[in-house]
Amino acid sequence: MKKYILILVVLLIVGACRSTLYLSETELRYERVSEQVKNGDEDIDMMIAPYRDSLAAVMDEVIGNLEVSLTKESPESNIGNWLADMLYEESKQLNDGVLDFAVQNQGGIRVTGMSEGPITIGEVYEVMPFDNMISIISADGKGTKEFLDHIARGRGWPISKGLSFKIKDKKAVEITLHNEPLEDRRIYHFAVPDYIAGGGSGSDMLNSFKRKDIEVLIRDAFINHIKKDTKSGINQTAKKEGRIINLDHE
Amino acid sequence: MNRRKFIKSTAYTAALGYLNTLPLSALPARNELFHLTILHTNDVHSRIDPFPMDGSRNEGQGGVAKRKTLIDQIRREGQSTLLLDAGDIFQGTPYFNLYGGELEMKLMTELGYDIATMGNHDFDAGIDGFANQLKYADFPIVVSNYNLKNTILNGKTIDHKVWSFGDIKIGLYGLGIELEGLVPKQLYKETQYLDPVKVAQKYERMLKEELDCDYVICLSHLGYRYRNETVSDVIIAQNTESTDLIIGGHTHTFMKEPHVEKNQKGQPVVINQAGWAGILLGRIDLYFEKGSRKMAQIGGTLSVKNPMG
Repeated sequence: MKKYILILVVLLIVGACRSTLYLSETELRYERVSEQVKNGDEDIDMMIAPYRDSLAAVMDEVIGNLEVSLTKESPESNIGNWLADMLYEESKQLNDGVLDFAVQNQGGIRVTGMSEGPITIGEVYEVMPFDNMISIISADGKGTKEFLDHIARGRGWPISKGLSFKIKDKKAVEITLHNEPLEDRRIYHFAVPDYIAGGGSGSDMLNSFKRKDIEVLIRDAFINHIKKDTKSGINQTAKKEGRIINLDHE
Repeated sequence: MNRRKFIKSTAYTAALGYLNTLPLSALPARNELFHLTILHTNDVHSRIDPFPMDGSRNEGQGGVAKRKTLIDQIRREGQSTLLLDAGDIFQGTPYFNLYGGELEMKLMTELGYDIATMGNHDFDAGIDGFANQLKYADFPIVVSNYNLKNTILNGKTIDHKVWSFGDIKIGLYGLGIELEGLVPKQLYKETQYLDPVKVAQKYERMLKEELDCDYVICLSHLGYRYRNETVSDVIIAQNTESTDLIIGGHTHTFMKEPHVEKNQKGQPVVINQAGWAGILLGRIDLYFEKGSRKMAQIGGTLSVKNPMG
């Protein structure tokens, strides 16, 4: 019993001597500072140099030419249309010519834009850094509409040429594919990143449909597509054309 | 409120010479203070070099070498510092695609990072890919709400950290985001996500009560706040009682000033986040008055950019 009392007393003394600290609101101070650094640290730069050089050898290769500057936007953007169309064309070829449309998730585009001019491999990596592969989903018209509703809730994702709809009350309405409405019982085949096919970014509804994985990185498909165009003397270009129109005022 | 506004308008450099500019009651004489500067980044996303000079929005901004210069400048001010990263170290430039994150870890070691937590993109090369790069990281990875027992990371991360600066103790725990639906299962494998609110409450209690910390930091990759009920830094702040500071990430939030949220006891919790890509360096200055119950803090973000741009 005495032992316990002694320990308690010691603890109280320690507690009393110790700095007890707390923060009160009036003692908070803020200021945003914009400090500029002229020169990078040389040792760090030397550490990076060998990596940078061997990277440059791969990434600086110019594979094509972009005629317009591209900007990422919602519900539709020129960069989104460009990527979705490339995804469509490459996936269709890889799927023996069978494909109705392609969808690229908005979050998968990792740049805010691209400047017109030469396109390097490095830029394509920056647009699409993730190692996502192509998946082909086969869904009936009803299931396809469910997926497009999901895209509408996400304020519009890039979709390939020929598909179009409007967003109203966070749903996809007036959906047309090559000017025809979707038929509930027809099966549609569409390409998406495997991340989306697996339910990523809330695309759980895709889990219930038939899925075929094509073991090709989407990034490599883009690089391939741009290179082929360049060989045929074709420059890259894209424009907004009203594929998705958002009627919801947010 | 008026007082807050008055304080806000004080220039930061003047605030550093606070003894002359602040109300006398706010701070004691200089020799009784312990000064700790917390520097932080988040979502650096493999941005090793500054953004290229190509006319895009962020051209010339960021870059590890410049960040090192800035950190060195701050360290030369002479106070104690802690350098933290709130996750998503990986993914975003070809450096990651080609070298798997090796250079990111080596550079963070060289910059003297004290600790980092894991973001969802740190699983992008698989949990094995992350584990492989830990040999280049001379700083601990802290994550308190992932059960990693059945993964390759078992025993390779820590769940909390305490630093002692004389008689001042700073405690830290780490919170990771829900991986299901965000990261393919084949990448995170058997990582088990635990409720961040419950974990935060458990660890702040442990740090404050059992380990006797004076100040508790939550290093989080949950995201600043959401329109829906998704757990966020703001929700953690509202549901805890001993966490003093939340250093966040994931939402790539550029904050004009740190956000202050009331905790369960009505006390303020400071939340700060530094954009992404190393464009900004977050900074929180803590002044502990020794032997009293006073502390002050100054926070903000510093931009790391190329003035030549």
